[in-house]
Amino acid sequence: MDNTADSPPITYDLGAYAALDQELQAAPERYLARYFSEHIYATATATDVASPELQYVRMAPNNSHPVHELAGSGGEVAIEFSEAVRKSVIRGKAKKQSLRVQPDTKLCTVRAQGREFAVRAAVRGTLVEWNTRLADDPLLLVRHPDQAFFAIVKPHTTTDDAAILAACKPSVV
Amino acid sequence: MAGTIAEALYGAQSVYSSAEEARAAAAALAATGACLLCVLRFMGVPLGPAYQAEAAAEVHEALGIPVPAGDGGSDTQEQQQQQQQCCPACLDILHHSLADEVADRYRAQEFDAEDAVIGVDLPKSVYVRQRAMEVFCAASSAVRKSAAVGVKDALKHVVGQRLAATCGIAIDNSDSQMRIEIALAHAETADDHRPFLPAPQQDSRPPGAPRSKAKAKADRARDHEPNLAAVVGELAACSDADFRARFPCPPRAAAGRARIGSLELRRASLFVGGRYLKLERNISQTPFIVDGQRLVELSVAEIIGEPLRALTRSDAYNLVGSGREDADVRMLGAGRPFYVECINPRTTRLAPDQIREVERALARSASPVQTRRLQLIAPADTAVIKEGEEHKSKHYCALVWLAQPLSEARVAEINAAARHGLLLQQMTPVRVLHRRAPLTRPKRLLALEIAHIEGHFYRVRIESEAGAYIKEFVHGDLGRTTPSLASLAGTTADILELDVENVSLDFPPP
Repeated sequence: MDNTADSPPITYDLGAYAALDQELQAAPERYLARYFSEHIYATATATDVASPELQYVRMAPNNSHPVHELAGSGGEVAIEFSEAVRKSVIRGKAKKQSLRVQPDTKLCTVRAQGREFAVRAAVRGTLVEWNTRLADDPLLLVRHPDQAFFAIVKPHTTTDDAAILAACKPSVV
Repeated sequence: MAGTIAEALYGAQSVYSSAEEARAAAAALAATGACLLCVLRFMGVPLGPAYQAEAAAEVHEALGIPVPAGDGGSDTQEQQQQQQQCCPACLDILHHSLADEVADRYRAQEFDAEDAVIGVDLPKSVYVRQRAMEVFCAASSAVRKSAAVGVKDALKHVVGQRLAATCGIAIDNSDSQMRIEIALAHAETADDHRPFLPAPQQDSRPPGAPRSKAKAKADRARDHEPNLAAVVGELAACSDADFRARFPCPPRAAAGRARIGSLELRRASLFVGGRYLKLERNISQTPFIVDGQRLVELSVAEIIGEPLRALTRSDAYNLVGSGREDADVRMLGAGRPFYVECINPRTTRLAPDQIREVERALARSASPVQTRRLQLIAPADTAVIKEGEEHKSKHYCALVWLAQPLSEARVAEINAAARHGLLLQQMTPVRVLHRRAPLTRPKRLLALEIAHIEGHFYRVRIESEAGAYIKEFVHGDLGRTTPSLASLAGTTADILELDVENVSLDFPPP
């Protein structure tokens, strides 16, 4: 049953995407910037903005979820999520039983290149997901940085960007 | 006419065998201050021509009751109310002015209904006064025992007659698309039923002991507004003597008339079904408003619903689609099945061509949302829309960007992947995680076809099971949908445009 006969065939105006094409070719993982705004949470250990141990907080457009990840590091990596996170109960539409977090709540510890790094929640909210795949396979941080997020947190305030990201700075892109 | 009225009053059907007996009863009843219709009611005269406002003069004469002063039509309402007290039995609910008011308000809406059901909600005091009159009649020698007509039935009859005469609608008390709900109130006699409240339930606990919240709430509710059934039950259980002790028989008149507390005119919803096409992006299916702010300017529901609402003269409308697409996704092909429910329509007698004209108007104005096969449907036909949402497959076409262009061999591999159905495990997408439960849902792709356009751009066609998130399948949603097009292609993938090409559901019915 040919239901597509009713409307004209689908054509794409690729010219409109020329600029995006160039940007993505230079840095493919920048596609995430189309879905999330990017901010940096400066922890006690990272005094130098250029340090590779930067924690990115990515926020979805409707302020629904910050996603936390680490800027790439090389070599051996060990990742350990905190006990509170591992034991948290995440269930149901409202996620009423989930772990409540503060900006400085430690979600996870990363050991790489002989140093230890604490991943903090960076926002006030409810833990909605933690990345079990990353816990099982820490090298995802190197192979697929865009899949190596630590956690997803639903902020308590959902309307005010500035309030949610009070502890973060917009990233320099 | 005279013949039938006389017959009703003291003919073979009546409990009164002669005009004298009937007149004696009428006189006794009229002496209580009861209005003409209530006199007829307690004489057991069945509802019929005798109750018509036009027959009043005749009935007065037949029964020998003088016409009350000032009850002519030319007097203003205030003058009438000052000159006489209202009927103690029906509180003037049966007065023709009330029926007239109902008919006027109904006619003002111009419903094109052919029949209607009338629902009546009477003040509790009317039930008490009905019983009081019955007790009085039982004690009176002039009034014969008969089944007195109730106020509710009499009102339905009187209002029904008025509506039939002025609006041409028939009253069908079993089933109708149109409901007329009349709620009456009389503040002055609001406490008449108090002597007949059921005794408060014995509390097993001593007063002052803590009660559960739910019970305390029920107690307060019961004391504040006892329900009608309780009062009626109490009245039925009460003996005549007992009743007399608690309430005057016959009942005392009240100064003011009962008024219409609320008049609700409700018509069964009208359903219009068809398929819609969304030819441009940035249109949501229903109005998208968050925290009082409208985030997307146009909606399918408003574009289709507004003209239908105007055509049927409805209060409101609801659009229900068989599934939905994001605001930035177009709906092409034969369109998506949907129906619009028009709520409380004034006009339902519509020719198919009038509905088709709505469709033609959308096409003529090159509206970004258009319909196909728009038609009136029966309420039962709407069920298939929701069933189809779960079970029917959808066809999509997407513009995809890949970081690493694919070899021909790789393209062939990917195209073969769904030959026998490709099973995905989709965790609730990040973009909807705030309003859906965190689950992993298995979804099947029935067909997958990727074709190179140029450079990094590819056209991807997908046929999937209902409920699959296509955007997430393309980029993988941070690794939370597996497999994804990105994982199959072994490279970063992003989706730039998405269109729905087909929703396979057979609707509207032929």
